[in-house]
Parts: sequence; structure tokens; C-alpha cells
Amino acid sequence: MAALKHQSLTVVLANALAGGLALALALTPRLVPPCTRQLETTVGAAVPMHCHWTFQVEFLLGVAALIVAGGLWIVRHAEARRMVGSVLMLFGLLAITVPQPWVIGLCGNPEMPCHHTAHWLWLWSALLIADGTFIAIQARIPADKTVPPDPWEKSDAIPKGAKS
Amino acid sequence: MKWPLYFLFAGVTFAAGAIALNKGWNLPPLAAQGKPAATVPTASDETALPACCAGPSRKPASGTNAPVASTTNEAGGREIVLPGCAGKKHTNN
Repeated sequence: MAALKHQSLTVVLANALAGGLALALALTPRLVPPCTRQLETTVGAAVPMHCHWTFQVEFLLGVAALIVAGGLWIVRHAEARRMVGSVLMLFGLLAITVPQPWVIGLCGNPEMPCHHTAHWLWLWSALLIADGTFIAIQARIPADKTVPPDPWEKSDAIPKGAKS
Repeated sequence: MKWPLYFLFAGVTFAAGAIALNKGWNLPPLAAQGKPAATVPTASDETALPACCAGPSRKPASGTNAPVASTTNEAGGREIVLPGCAGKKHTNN
């Protein structure tokens, strides 16, 4: 709680939203079920439809985004927040990309339940991209701290008052 | 003290995710494989009707809702077998 005292309400809300969206990304396939029926091969084996593998990847992306979003509560420097925000934005982009037919894809029939689940995931992903972008933009590096002092220049600096 | 706590959080979250994936808790359980007619998806569900069923003698027995079974052949392609096609395979390599 001590860390919260030093952060503005906007920062706290952006951090909490990122964590919530990452959690939603991981839990939505469980709460809004995709296709659960199986395909039967000619040899009699039952295999899941390929949307099943899409949501396995989405779950992993959600867990990874949750871990990264947890880092927002730890990092202090503006540069680190920009990096974390950018990574969250990347996770959102990946979560939108995975259900595309040229990556793993969904089932062919748009009326199947996996498309309904994917719509929710796309909403969370879009919000995660927006939140990551906001965090990255909001954590502006102060103008006087953009360039760290050069140690070589410091050691060679002529002391004040010395004659050149 | 914050970073050790963060790594603990990351480790526990990752482990919980891995266990959930392993146990299948992240998705609803797949339907049990019972009678083929009840569990096998139909042609309209998973894919469009393959071209090999275009002829009148090769039409599926019950229109587009005939059961479809697909498997992977040796070349890594996908074979879809429609029972109404008299064993005709649609190969997509």
C-alpha cells in the first residue's frame, strides 16, 4: 500500500485495468465456451476442432500479459513503464492475431460458438492495446532526464573556477 | 523487497497457468466421444462441401448435413471422407 501513495490515481487505474484485461483474456474462453465437440478421424480417433488450439494460445497470452501487467506495480522509472506498456500493447496485438485464419484460426461456420468467444477476446485485446498505449504515452520521460549524464564528460569536466 | 515478491507472483501465476492448461481447466471440457452421429460435426459446421461430391452419384446421403470425418494423410495434407461419396476422398495436400 505504501507504493500506492506515490502514484497518481490515473496510474493506479491504468495498472489495474491492464491486470483486469489480462485476466479477462485468460478466463473468457472458460466463461464463454467455444466449440466443445470433437472431430472423428477415419481411424476412429477424436480430435478437438482447431479453434480449441486458438484458445489454448489465448490463455497463455493472457497469463503472460498478467505477469507483465504485475510489473507495472514494481517499476518506478518512466522508461520502464513505457517498455511495459509497449509489451502489453504487443500482447493485445498478438491476441487479436491468433484467431485469424492465417495463424491458427476459428471454425469455418461463423455461427459456431467459437466466433462468439473470439468477439469477447477481440474486445479485451483492443482495450489492452489502448491501455498499453496510454501507459506508454502517459509515462513521458522528463526533458531534463532523457539523456543520462555522460560519465566520461563528467570526469573530464573542468572544475568551476579553474583557469583553462 | 519488491522484486523478490514480483518474481514470486510471476512464478506462482505461471505455474497456475501451466497446471490449468495441463488439467484442461482453462476451457470447458470437450464433449465425450459417444455415438458418431451425435459427436461428429457436419459438413456445414466445419468446412464447405468438398468438390469431389459435386456429381449426382457422389452426393452425400443426407445433403450437406452428412457426417464428415477428416484425418491427416502421410504427406501432411488433410483428407475428408464423406460417407455418401462411396468412399471418395477429398485430399487437400
